Amino acid sequence: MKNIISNTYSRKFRGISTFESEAESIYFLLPFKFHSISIDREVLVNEIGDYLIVPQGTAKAIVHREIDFSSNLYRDLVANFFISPTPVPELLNVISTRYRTKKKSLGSFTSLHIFVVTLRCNHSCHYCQVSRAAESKSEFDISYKDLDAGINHMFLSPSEELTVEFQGGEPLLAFDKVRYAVERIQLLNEDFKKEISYVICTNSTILNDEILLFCKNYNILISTSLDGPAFIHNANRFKSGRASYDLVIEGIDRTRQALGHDKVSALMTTTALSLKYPKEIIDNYVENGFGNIFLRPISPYGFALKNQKKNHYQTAEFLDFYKQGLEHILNLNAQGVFFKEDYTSIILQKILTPFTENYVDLQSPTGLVSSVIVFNYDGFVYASDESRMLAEIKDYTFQLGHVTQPYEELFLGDKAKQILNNGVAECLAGCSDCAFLTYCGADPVLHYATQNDMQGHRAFSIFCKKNMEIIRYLFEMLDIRKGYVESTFQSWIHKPAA
Amino acid sequence: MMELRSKGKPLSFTQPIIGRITYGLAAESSILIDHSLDNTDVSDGYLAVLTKRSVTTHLSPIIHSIPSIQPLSEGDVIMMLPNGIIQTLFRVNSLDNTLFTTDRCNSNCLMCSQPPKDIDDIEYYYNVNHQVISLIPSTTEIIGITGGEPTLLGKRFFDMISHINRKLPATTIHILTNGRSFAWKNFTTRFESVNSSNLVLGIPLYSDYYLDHDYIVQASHAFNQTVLGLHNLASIGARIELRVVLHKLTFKRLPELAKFIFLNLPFVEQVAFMGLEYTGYTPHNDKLLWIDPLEYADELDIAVTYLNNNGINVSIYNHPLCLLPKPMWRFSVKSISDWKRHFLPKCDSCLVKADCGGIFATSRKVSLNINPQ
Amino acid sequence: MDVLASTDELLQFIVNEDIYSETVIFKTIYWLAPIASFDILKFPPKSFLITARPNTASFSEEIKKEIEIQLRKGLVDFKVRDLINQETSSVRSMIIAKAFDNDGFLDIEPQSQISDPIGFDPTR
Repeated sequence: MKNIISNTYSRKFRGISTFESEAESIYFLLPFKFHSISIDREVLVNEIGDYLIVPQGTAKAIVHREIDFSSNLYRDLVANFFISPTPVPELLNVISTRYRTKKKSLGSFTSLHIFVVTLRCNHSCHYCQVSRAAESKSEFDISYKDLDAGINHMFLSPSEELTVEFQGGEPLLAFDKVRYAVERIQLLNEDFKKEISYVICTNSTILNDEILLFCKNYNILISTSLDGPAFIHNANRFKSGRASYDLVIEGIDRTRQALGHDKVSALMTTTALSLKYPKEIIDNYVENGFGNIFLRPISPYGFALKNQKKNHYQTAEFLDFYKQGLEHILNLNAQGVFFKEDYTSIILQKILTPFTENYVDLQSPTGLVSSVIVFNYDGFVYASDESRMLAEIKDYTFQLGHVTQPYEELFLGDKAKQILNNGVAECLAGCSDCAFLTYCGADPVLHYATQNDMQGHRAFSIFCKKNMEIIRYLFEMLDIRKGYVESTFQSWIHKPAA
Repeated sequence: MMELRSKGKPLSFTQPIIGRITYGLAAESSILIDHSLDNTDVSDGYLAVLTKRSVTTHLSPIIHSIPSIQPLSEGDVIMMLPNGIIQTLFRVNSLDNTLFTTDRCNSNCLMCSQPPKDIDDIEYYYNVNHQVISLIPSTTEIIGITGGEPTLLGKRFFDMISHINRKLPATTIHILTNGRSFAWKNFTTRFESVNSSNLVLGIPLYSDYYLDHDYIVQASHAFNQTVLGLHNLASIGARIELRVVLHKLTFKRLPELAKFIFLNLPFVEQVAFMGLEYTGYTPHNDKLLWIDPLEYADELDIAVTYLNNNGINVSIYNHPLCLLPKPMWRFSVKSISDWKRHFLPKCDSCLVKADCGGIFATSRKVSLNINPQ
Repeated sequence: MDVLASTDELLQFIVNEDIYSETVIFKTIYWLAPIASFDILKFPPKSFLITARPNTASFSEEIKKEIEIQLRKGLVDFKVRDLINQETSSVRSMIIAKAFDNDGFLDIEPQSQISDPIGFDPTR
């Protein structure tokens, strides 16, 4: 063992060259990846998601040991863990701790538990795959027995933080089930003592005082659907009787008065019609007092499912829509309106901070099962919301079993393992060498739905096409429009939307 | 170390005496400041006496013929040295009290304001500090521990902290250390057993690039040891304040350093950027270190804004406001101890003098760009 | 990389196997699957033969140009990636193993020296 106390010691000052000459005269590579972001620029990304934007050809120059030791680039590369003066970096512990932080979601297992309490709905939205309007009650509501079983499974999750989300159909058409579930969970939690938050995903058209009082008592958040201005919203979300838009806005106002402004969030679904109106949709959100919007792509589930060409065409259209929207949002921020785009914020959190965001679509290993689980109205258990949509067109690939089965069979069974094994981006062709791997995820359900293969081929993947372009675009912005754009991005990461 | 000293003529003692100042309350550890004019022996009930009078015989230890006794408050702790020097070790009315632990250091920073000495003084200072800790009031808000490098005390480092924890359970302890010793797990584990939420470690980091930091602190491997130490400390939940001294060798990579801190050390409670104190080694290394603060304003601005945007508390210490860009003013903290804070004559007309950090009284060189606002 | 044949139904390239490994070639053509289908054959003594056939009836001139450009760029980029992967695979394993080492079995103490003239030893 080496003596750790140095015996060559003097208080005479030594020049910088003494220190430089003590260091190795070669450098060693650390794992990193690169991707071209424009004609003359490329981004280098290391194993823990830190990046440097550099001239094209820099990665090649690094590998061929052409970096000048006295350059600032050399300092940047060492300080950011792209190269190391020693074969094993002396700060290996630091790099590993940071890797662990980026994979934090692995430690907690399933946190989001979705209960589909009913399929009944008072809307008939053209993009909806699952709802059943005006059907008989018993057939499409979850049973108390299945609800109990789902709740019992939820408390077996090792996660200390649980989110309970009630979905439908329109879950408030089965408010008795929602009330029953919340009260039962509260009672059981007196022993389990987990941190539980509740969300009801509702179209906000049938909220009444009784429901709102209940939400207030249990600090339940309302997540509603708002597709933009009336002409878009009503076209997307058809409802007989009064127009959906007016009812939703009324519902939002009423909920804010009863629960507080920040207790209501809205989710937008992009349709072919929406694609033409990014500004109008965003302005509508601002006018209605929201501080954020999630520009979500058109769901490939259902009509366009296996039509590759159409999917790709729509992805390109969506990317235009997204970029116009993002530009508009940045302009709003420049005018002093704090407003953020959620998908961008999730990705930026991964790019600009040492932390990560547990968003199921952008997780590797996939968050299906290990972050989210769905208890459907009929008692069957699914890996995600999209999984149960597939089941509505009679494809049960992502059905894990029935809620009456034991926990292990559902959460750790063969189906769950198969999904997980196909959901590790680090091991997927096309992903394993990708510079954006740390920011991205695997999506076995989407790839199965669009390519009949849980892994999918990246060159044909709309998921890949969308994320590659969004992430590249963000890097390009960070590179050429630093200053204001970067500080706006930082504010999105750290400030809550409301 | 407090620089407030008085000197008089010693009588009736050969070893240093540490006690608590009183103007009349007799107690075992009290040192009486005697203002009486007659020559009676007032030692009864006191550990020792200080007086301006001239005394020829005295039963208990006394320093007499002190030309002017510095202003001391009831409860201040002083040390009487056999050569007649009176050293103030603790002032009850100050928030700047520090326990000086050693002159030794395993670094040798180019800008050290208190250059280290290669002497084994640990037991000496340990005994002095041990007595001081026993004598100071339990209502003391904050006490600093400094050196030299306090962790070189080894076992005595942990002994001293547990002694403070026992005697002063409500007092904040602020330790200035280079953090290198914490790179070794077992040292951090031992520290964990004395750590508490009242304890804050002030640790310097001068660059994101290891060789630049090693050069500035004049010690090979120091950067990696400090960063590993910071991570070990974070793993036991220690409270950490990072300190960055601003000078010619640090300013260029301040933006990169800020990024390194947020990405790799986001657990720190605060980052303090500190103006250079022109004393100690600094005048000797003037050519390497001196830069007018106006010249690093841009880099400082970028670093401070980045850290602040990312939710890390930032402070700027030891810095006159007129040498900072206006948006940085809100980060400026009046950190120079009252007795060390100094202003130029032209500062009298400045409108923001009351909020200004001022300059070190000990600094022998100041910016030519200091101007009233 | 040399072009061996270029017709409306067939594109062939010769790639020196000492320069570009099979892995690098496969990773490159993976991304070209939407515009052509590929075969890789050994081409003695020391080369690979890459054959591209159109996914539709025939190649347009633009597609042929595109394939050649993408192949050239892809080979160079994936070769760089391959070199990084080879050189860093053991360090990557160490990083990941240490990241999930919950019990500290893989803890490494600093191998560097601490320079105190009096002899402080942080390990004691």
